[in-house]
Formats: sequence, C-alpha cells, structure tokens
Amino acid sequence: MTAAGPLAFPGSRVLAGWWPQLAPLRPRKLWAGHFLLHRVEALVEVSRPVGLDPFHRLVLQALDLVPQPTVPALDAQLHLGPQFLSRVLHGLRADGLAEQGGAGAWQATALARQALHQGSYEQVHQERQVFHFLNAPRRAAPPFLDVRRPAAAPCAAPEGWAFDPAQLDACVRQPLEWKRQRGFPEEVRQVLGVRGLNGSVPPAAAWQQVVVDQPEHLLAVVALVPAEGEGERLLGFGVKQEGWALQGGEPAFAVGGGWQELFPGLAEELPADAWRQAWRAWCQQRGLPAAEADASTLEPHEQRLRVQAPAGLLARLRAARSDALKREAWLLVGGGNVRRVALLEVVQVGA
Amino acid sequence: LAARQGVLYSHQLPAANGAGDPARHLIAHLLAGTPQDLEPVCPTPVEPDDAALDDVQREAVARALATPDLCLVQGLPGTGKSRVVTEILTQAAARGERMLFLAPGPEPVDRVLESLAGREAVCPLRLLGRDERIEELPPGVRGFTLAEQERRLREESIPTARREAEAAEERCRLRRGAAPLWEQLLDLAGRLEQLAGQVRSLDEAHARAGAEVEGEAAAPENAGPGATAPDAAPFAAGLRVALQARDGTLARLDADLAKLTTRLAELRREQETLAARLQELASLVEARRHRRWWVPAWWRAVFRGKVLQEAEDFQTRRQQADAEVRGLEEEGGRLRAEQDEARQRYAAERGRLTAAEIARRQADLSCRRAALEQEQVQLDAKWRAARGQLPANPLPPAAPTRRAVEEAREASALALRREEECAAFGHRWAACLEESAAGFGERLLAMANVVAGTTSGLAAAAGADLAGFDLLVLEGADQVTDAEFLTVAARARRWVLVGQSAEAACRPAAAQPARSAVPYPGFFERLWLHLHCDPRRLPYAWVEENGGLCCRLRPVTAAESQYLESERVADRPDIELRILTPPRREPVLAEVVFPPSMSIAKAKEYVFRELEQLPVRALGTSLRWHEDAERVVLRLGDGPAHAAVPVALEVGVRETVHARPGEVNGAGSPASSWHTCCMEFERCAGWHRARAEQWVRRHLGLCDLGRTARLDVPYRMRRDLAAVAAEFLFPGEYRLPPAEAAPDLGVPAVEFLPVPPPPDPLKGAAVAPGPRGGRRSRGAAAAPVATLPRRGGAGLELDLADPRHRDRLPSELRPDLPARGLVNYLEAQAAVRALEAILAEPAVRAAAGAAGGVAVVALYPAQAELIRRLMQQSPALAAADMDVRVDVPEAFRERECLVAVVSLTRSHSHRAVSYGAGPDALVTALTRARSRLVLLGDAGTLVRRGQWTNPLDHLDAAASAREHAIVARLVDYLQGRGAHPHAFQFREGSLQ
Repeated sequence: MTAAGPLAFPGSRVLAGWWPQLAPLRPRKLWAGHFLLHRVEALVEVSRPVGLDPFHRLVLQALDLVPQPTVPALDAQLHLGPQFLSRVLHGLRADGLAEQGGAGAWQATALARQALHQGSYEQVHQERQVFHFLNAPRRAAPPFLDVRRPAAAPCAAPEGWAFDPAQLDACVRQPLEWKRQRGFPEEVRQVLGVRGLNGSVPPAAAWQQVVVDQPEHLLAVVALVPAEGEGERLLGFGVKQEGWALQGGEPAFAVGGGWQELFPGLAEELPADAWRQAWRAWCQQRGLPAAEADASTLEPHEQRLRVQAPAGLLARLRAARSDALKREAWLLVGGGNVRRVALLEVVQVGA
Repeated sequence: LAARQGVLYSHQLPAANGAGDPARHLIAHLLAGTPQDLEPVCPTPVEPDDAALDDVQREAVARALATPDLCLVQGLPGTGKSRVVTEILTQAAARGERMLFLAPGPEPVDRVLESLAGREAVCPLRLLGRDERIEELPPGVRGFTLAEQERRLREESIPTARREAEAAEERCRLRRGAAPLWEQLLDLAGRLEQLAGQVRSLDEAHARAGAEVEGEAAAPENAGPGATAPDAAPFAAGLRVALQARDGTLARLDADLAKLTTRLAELRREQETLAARLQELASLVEARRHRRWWVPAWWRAVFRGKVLQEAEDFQTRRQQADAEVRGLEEEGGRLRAEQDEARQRYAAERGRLTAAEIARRQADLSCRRAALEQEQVQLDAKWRAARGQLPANPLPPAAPTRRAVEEAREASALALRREEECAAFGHRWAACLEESAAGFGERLLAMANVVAGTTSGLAAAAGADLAGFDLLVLEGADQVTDAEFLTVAARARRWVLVGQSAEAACRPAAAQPARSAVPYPGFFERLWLHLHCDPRRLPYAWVEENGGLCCRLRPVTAAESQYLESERVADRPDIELRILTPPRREPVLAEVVFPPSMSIAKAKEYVFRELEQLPVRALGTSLRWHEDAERVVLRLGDGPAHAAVPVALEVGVRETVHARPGEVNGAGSPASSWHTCCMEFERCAGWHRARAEQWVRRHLGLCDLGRTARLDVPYRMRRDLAAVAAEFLFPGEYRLPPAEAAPDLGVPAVEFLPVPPPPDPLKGAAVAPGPRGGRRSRGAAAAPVATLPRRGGAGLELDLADPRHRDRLPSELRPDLPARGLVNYLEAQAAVRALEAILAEPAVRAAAGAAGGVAVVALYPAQAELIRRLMQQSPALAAADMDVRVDVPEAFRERECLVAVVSLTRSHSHRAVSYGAGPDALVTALTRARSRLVLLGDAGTLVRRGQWTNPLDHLDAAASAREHAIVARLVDYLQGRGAHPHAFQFREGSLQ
C-alpha cells in the first residue's frame, strides 16, 4: 500500500514515448490522470452457462432409466459405490440439476432436462468478486468502473473515505443494457450480505458475506477513440509510475456510450485560458519570452494544440532544437487529478 | 463491525501478520494467551445420526460444527472420541462441507473410516502414507483408498457396466426373437377363448336341457306336434303317441260322460217332476189314507179318483229314476276315473319320455363338452409352451385371453424399449467410465468430502489437490507439534483438534488445575489451557476450621502463612478476616473465617453481599449450561441432590452447594468440604442464557468460548473398571457412566497377579501359584501390605541381547525370540496360565465375541513374542478355539477387548526401572479392557518405581513423572490404599 503523496504527471518526453502505442487508436482526445478507486470485494451469486459433461449427463439419464432411482438402485446401474454416487447426486443437486423426492428417490429437474436437451445449463453459485467504483467526492455515489486489468495499486484511504454497499446492489439491479454499456458483469444475480449480514447464516460462513472496500490508486492515460460506427469510446491504459511504463495492449478500462456521465470532468471542454496558461508555462520552462508566448495563437484540435507563434519564438525554438518543431512535444493542460494531454504543433503566424 | 457498517474497509482489517496463513495467526494469538478477543460461539443443537451419543458428546459435535475457527475436543481413553469424530464428519458432510481428517497414526483414522462406511452423506478417501501399504489396512478401509477405488473402477465397475450392457442386449435379442410368439399366442388365445365360449354354451345348454325338454313336452299339448327340435323326433313321436292314446281315451270317455250326463239330466228333471207331482198329491193322499173326509183334500181326492194309485205310480217311477241316477253317477265316476287314469298314464309316459330325452340330450352335451375340453387341453399345452418361451420379465400373459396377450405384448414392447435404452446406456456408461478412468482420481478427490490419512500420508500425497477444505479434523492432536499442525492447517478454513489430556495423568488426585501439571505442555495442551474454561481453576476453597467455615479467597502457601494477619469485622466481630500482608506487596484479603453457628448458606450470602465475591469451588471440568422452561442452569459439578444446600445470591439467582468431606484442596490443606453443584437463574426473574453468561463472567471470570468440549465418561469400561482406571491414570477426570456399558463378568474388575508370588510371611518363601487358587484380599483390611518388597524386585527380567540372560530361557524357545529386548519368562508363563483360566470361564466365552475378545498386552515386543510361543504350547488354549491377540500397547490403539491381560514384564532386582515405551503405552495398555483387567507384574519392582521420582532410563522428566504417578497409584492399590477396594483384587496365586 502506498501513502497518498503529491500527484506526479508524466513529462513531455514520457508522453512522446507513449504516443507510438496510442497513435494506432487514433485518439481524439487524451488525458493523463490519477484515479482513486473503491476496490469492493463482495460475495455474489453468479449464474454462468456451463456445459454438461458426459459423466453428469449419463448420471442424469440414469435417473430416468432406473424405475425407483434411490441411491442403491442407481448404484446397481452405475456401479460407482453408494457413497461416491451420493456425492455426485448431491453435486447435481447443488447445481439445481437433481432433487431428492420422497422415499429417497432422486429425479432430474426441469433445468436438468433443459441441460440434457441443450448440452449446457445456467449454473448458479456464490463467489467473491471484485468490483471497482470510481471515487467521486463531489458525487452522491461512486459510479461503477469496469477495471479489467489489475493496473491499480492499493493505497491509503483518504479522509472521509466511505462506500455504501447499496451502490453495488443498485448496479446489480440495473437493466441489461446499462450493464453491457458499463461492462458490469451480467452474470451477477445478487449481492449477498449487502443488506446486513444474514442472521440465519452460521458464523462459520458469515465472514464470507462481509463486503470489503480497499482504496486503490490508478494512474492512467485516457484516450477518447472512435468506436465502431458513429460513436466513440473512452479507453484507460494503466501506467506504472515507477519507470512511467504504459501498460498498452489491453486497456485497464473501456467505457462505451455514456462515458460523459461517468467522467463528467472529461466531457467538459477546457476554457481557452487553461490552454493559454499551459502554453505560457511550457514557454516559461524553456526560457521563452512571455510576450512572445502571449502573442501566439492557440488552436486546440482533438489531441493537438496548434500554436501559431511569432517568428521570434520560432527562431528561438529552432535554436534550441526543440521537440515542438519535430512534433514530439506534449503539453499537460488543466489542473486537478486529471489533465488534458495535447501534442504541440508550433507553426509560424500566418502559416 | 461488518454487520454494523455494512462494509469493512481495508484499514479496519487485522494487520497482515501471517495473513496468508490464518491458522498461524490464530494459533499464535491463542498461544500468546489472548483468547478473550474471540467471539463466544453458541452452537445450535444437532440431531445426530448416532442416537446413542450423550449430551456432552452431542455438545462436542455441535461446537465442532459451529466454530468459525478452532474447536478442541479433549477426551480420555474410551470416552467416545472416535464416535464424536465420526458424527462431526457425518454432520459436516450432510451440510455440504469438505473435510480433511488426519491423525498422526493410522489406527484412529481407520477406526473412524470403518464407522463411516455405509453413511451415504459421506464419501471418504483414504490417503496412503509412504510407509503404509494397502494390504495392511483393515478390510473395511481398503476400499476407501484411491488405488483400490481406481482398481475397482477398472476391474469391477467398467466390466460390470459392459457385462450388463451386453446382458441387456441379449435380453433385447431374446425379446425380439420372441416376437412371432405373440402372434401364435394371440391365435391360441383366440381359439382358447372360443373353446371356452363353446364350453360355456354347452354348460348353459346342459343346465337348460331339462327346461327345454319340458317345454318341448308341453308344446304338443298346447300347440300340437311340430314344435319340437328336429333331433328330437323319437321323443316327439313317442310323446305324440302317448298324447294320442290319452286323447283318444279321453275323447271316448268324454263322449260317454256326455251321454251319461245328458241322461242324468233327464232323470234329474224327471225326478224333479215326479217330486213335484208327489208333493202335489201328498195332501190328497194323506187325506184319503186317513179318511179325513172332513177336509177338502179328501173330497178332492175323491173327485180326482185313483189318487193313491197315481201316487204309487209316481213313487215307483221316482224310485226307478233314483236308481237310474245312482247307476249313472257310478258310471260317471268310473268314466272320470278312467279319464284320470288315462291322464296319469300319459303323464307317466310323458315323464319317462322327458327324462329319457333330457338324459339323452345332456349326455350328448357332455360328450361334446369332453371333446371341447380335449381340444382345450391340447391348445393349452401349446399355449404354455409358447408362453414359456417368453422372457420372464415383464410377466408373460397371465391368462390365455387376447386381451391379456395384448397387454403383455405392450408391456414386453415397453420392456424391450427399456432394455434397448439400458443396453445403449450401458455401453455409453462403460465408455464414459473408460474415458474418465484416467482422471478418476482427480474426480474422486474432488468428490470426496472426507479425505483421511495420517499427517505423514498427507505429505506423501503432495501432488494432489488437498487444499480448500472447510474443516480439518485432527485426531490425536495431543501427539502433534504446533509446526506439524500449521503445516496441515493451511489446507482448511476451520479446525477441530481431538486429543487426549496429558495433564490429567500427571495431576495428583483432586488437585486444582490452576496451571498445567505437565512440565512442558504440548501444543494441544497449551491451546486447551487457553481456550477451555475449567471451573476447577478458580482459586477458592471452603474448608472447616475449628468447627466453623473458612472461605479461602486465594491459596496461601505454607511460606506465606506467616504473613497472615487477623482482623475482626467491625459490625460482626464473630467473623474473622485474614489478610495476607507480604513484604513490599499490597495486602490482600486471603481468608474469611465464620463462627461455627453460621451455616454455609449464610456464609456464602455474606461473602457475596459484603465482599462482593463469589467463592465457588467446582469439581466439574467444564461449564455445562442447561436450559429448560423455568430456568437456566450452569452445572459446575455433580452432587447428591439430597445433600444440596441452596444459597440465594440475588433475585432469581441461586447457588446450590453440597458437602464432600475428605478432599484435599489446591493448597494441599485437607478438608475442603463444600462444592458448588450449580448456579440457577430463574427465567421468571428475567434471566436468560446471555444474561446468565454475562453474570457468571462478571462474578467468576468464567467465560466459555464455545470452542472446547471435554469427554469424560468412559463408556468403554465397566463402571468398576472405570473407577479404578480413573484413579490409576486420570484421578478425578472420569465421570462414571450412568449405566453399565460393558458386560459384568462377576469378578473384580481389576486383578493383580504378582510374579513372583509374594513370600509367605510364615515360611519366608514365595507362595507358588497352584491350582488351589489365590488368597483373595479385599479392601484395605486384607491388603498384603507387609508382603510387598520395598527395596526392589525379584530380578526375573531377561535382556535377550545378553547371551547369559538368553541362556536362562528354555533352549527350544531361544531361536524364535528376537535378538534383543526384555522378557520375563515366569511372568509369561503366569500370563498363559491366567489366559487359560480366563478362557475357561463360561461368562468370558459367552461375551467375548461381541465385546472384542481377550487380549494380552505386553509392554515389550520380545515379551509379546515369548507369550505367543508359550501359548502355542498350551493344549488348553488350543482347545479353547478362541483368537487371542498378543501384542504391544501401540498395536492396540483404537482397539478394545473384553478382558485384557497386561504383562508389565519388568522385574529388576534393585533399581527403579521404566515400563515400556513410556507412560502413553502404559495408559494404552491399561485402558483397552471393557470388563476385566488382569495385571501381571513384579510388585517389588513396582514399589521401587513408585519410590523414584526423578527422570529414568529413556524417559524425560515429564514422561517419568507421568509414569511415576501411574505406578505410585497402582502401588497404593497393591498396598490396600485404593479408593475402590471392591473393584481390585490382589491375587497371591493364579486365577485358577
């Protein structure tokens, strides 16, 4: 776990180093940011399609074949030994495929018949799953974020850190369309223990229902890229702060439609002043006269910031063999935890 | 916290010290002596499969199932640990849990597995250690090994499935081959049905024949000839002839009768006419005859003339008419008689003809029926033959009817379809088993909900997926170290440790277990001390002093007693307070002395009210809560109800105490006389279990964490034997069973046969064992105190490694004995003689089969071998025809027997010696018997050992102390100081 320290952002060269990995995505906008996540681990009931293996298929068929399918009668057909067979049957019952009726006779359930017919069935079981929620102090409830890669690292909980498990329950109850859009696992049917620990649960099993919230820190480069069709997607790539290594390839998270709702800050256009301040700071860092910087015209366009600079400033950049002239200089725009990233294109005024 | 918040934040989780290994974390926590952090567990009652489990055993099962982490079950030998483990495994399996069941040795594992056999909820898998071989396992357990189950799959299940599939195919083939038979059967059934109908018709006709013939016979009379059946012409002709004859006769007679009737009518008219005329003339005749001329009639007769003549004529004519009428009437009667006769003749003839016709017709029907029956028999034979060719299942047609055949054919078709399905299924199943045979081990491992083995065997199965168990049950936990436990504990979420108390054997009688009596308590013992709430650890005692009661609030040693200062209570000067004021320490109230006039109830109430202390002295080893509709009761010991004294402490809370004189308290002082039986909390005063527990915790500092259970009722043993064994081995630890669980053989439960026999005090020589039997000494009065040597034994033991010792044995025995080891030849002979006597007892022979037989336990392997050799030479034992197992104690672990003969072997001339492998072996040897324990040993050597308190031979201080304690208590009995003299017999001769 790392303690919360001053937020560090990648420099121009680091960003330039990442660009070859990001360029193929044709990003329309880029951001670099620190995100605080609730890593919520909870016991959930999930339902997944499972193939019916031949062994269980035949055992289920035997239930129909044997006239009074008690364990001894079934064992006379299957020769597995009553104790092993009993375990197999109890396993089938746990999966909802078999049930025990009167006089100890077993029978296949409707689900089993469906499984025999289709070759697969929906298996319902309980497991502890991890869900990520984006910490949003200004919002009422942290929204769900589908973090697919373990790109985030545990960190200390900031002041006022809190999570209401009802938020997770609310996600489960969202419509399928919403889940698909947000990448919420569709197979989750129910969150257990959210409405308080069930008193009927034996103490030995009660601990499994405890919801655990772990704060995590995710440093990511977020790219708004065109999606198939007309839309656009927001992809977040994790960054290892140590060595500023971009975890390219599969994104840490991907949000389709509705990303503006999830990241409202990213949806807002930066004011011209912010661009101007970023440009001025960039020039200041390189010892360029403030007057020439202020005389430049700034035109942000997608992931680029086109700067029409006076000839003097351009000459100075040439003299300093600046990356900006090679289109390899990157600029961080804005403040806060998430900042806009833009590629500098410096041209002469009137060009 | 999680329940309150709804969520736990990571910073609220315990520190990740050993977080990857919760067992390590918990055990470290517990061994550090901080179990208070654990939430108490309140188990819910269970309904056990084994209905014979007592309340304590059920509670142990419930606690093991309910624990969220750890549960300890401690039990002395014979108290049902294995039964409890069996029940825990069964119940947990029924709840869908997966368990790992381990023990340091194979015996407890196999014993439990044997009792799990046949319980459907449990699917056990026995792991084999590197040093274990499958053929060494009990037969009932071999089937649980992976190798055996795989072998069974390959060699039995798959071939059987194949065979059954082929058999089903064969049945199908037979069924299909029988298809033409159904047509034949249908045809036969049709014909048989037809024949049956015909027979039925004939029978009906037979029954109808009489009526028909009668009808036919009547028909000619009514309708004339022609109404009869064509085949009945003779009958009809005869009937016609008879009828004609009758009719002819009747016609003739009718004609005669008609004439006669006509004439008779004429005559009757004439008679009437004549009678009228005579009547008319009567007055005239009367007057004329009597000449009554004065009457007109005379004159009319006169004028009429010939009146008299006329009257006479009339009279004559009348007489003639009368005569003729009579004649005619007679004739009429005759004619009518003839008519009747004709009719009767006809009726007789008709009857004859009818009977003959009926007989003829019935004979004809019978003949036809017989022919039909013959045909039926032939068809029935064909039916049976065809039916016999049908498969027996489903049943062939029950009756030779087309309907039955159709039904049977449908059932057969259904059976054929089923057989076809079976055959196809059987082939698929066999193929599936063959395909899955390679992975069957993995499947079995995944399916097995009880994976059992020795702790070392688990290490051998390292490749298998042996993790993620819900419950680890470790029997023999007292024999494992914490490191060994932690090695296996990571495989399960919860742990149940079952073990035996080493401490119990070391504790002096009735001593308070304020701290462990074992010098270096093991892992299990330490956990037990921290987790188990033993009310005997309370420091209080109530003793009698100068006729009054003294309440000891803390033990005061002899050295501390000099610092006791006495002080009188200001408002109760008859009550004395003794305050311990050691130098440089805070003074503490140590004792309160009450006047003789103050009862225990008043004294207790006073201490509770004024000093706010609850000095409870308990004999029970556990807190035993009991609830009923009226009260919550905490039992702290057992006591006689009649001697109980109630003490009211506060509203609804009552303490019950009873007196038990003569006990030695924890401080070593005599006469702690009052013990608490129970604390009762009345529900009507608002008490419930949680509140009562809180009260007990506040006032006594006792809190049952619900993670320990102590089994202390020796169900294995007869009560007398249990009482003596308890005193030898575990003083104060056994609670005697409420009823006899073992057969009573009618002799003292424990017998000691000294080898050599003690010297005769008169002659100074040993009393040789002989057929006259031993001198029986009962109780302290008859104990041979003076006869026991005090300085050493007889020196009868022989070390086989020493050639000079070996040469003292008979030459024929030497080659068969091991190269090294201790033997005692005289004792071995005595053991065989004792065995001969025991096996000759009818009670033993009757009960041995069901109760585990007779066993000889020798403390040394060489002695066991020597006894085996001598037994082979005994004709009496050969004739007894009863298996007697002879072995060392280790071989009898988890075994029991009706009678155990224990050969202690050691007989050293001068020094103290140890017995066997150690005190555990001695405990094992002395706790195997159910009804009778026969000890053979050198009394002098035992006495010498009882005098030696230091480490000895291979025994460390702890083991030596345990062995010394056991031997010393045995010597107490030998010297007549035992608490149960009626159950112990010192025999100076043999058993015969």
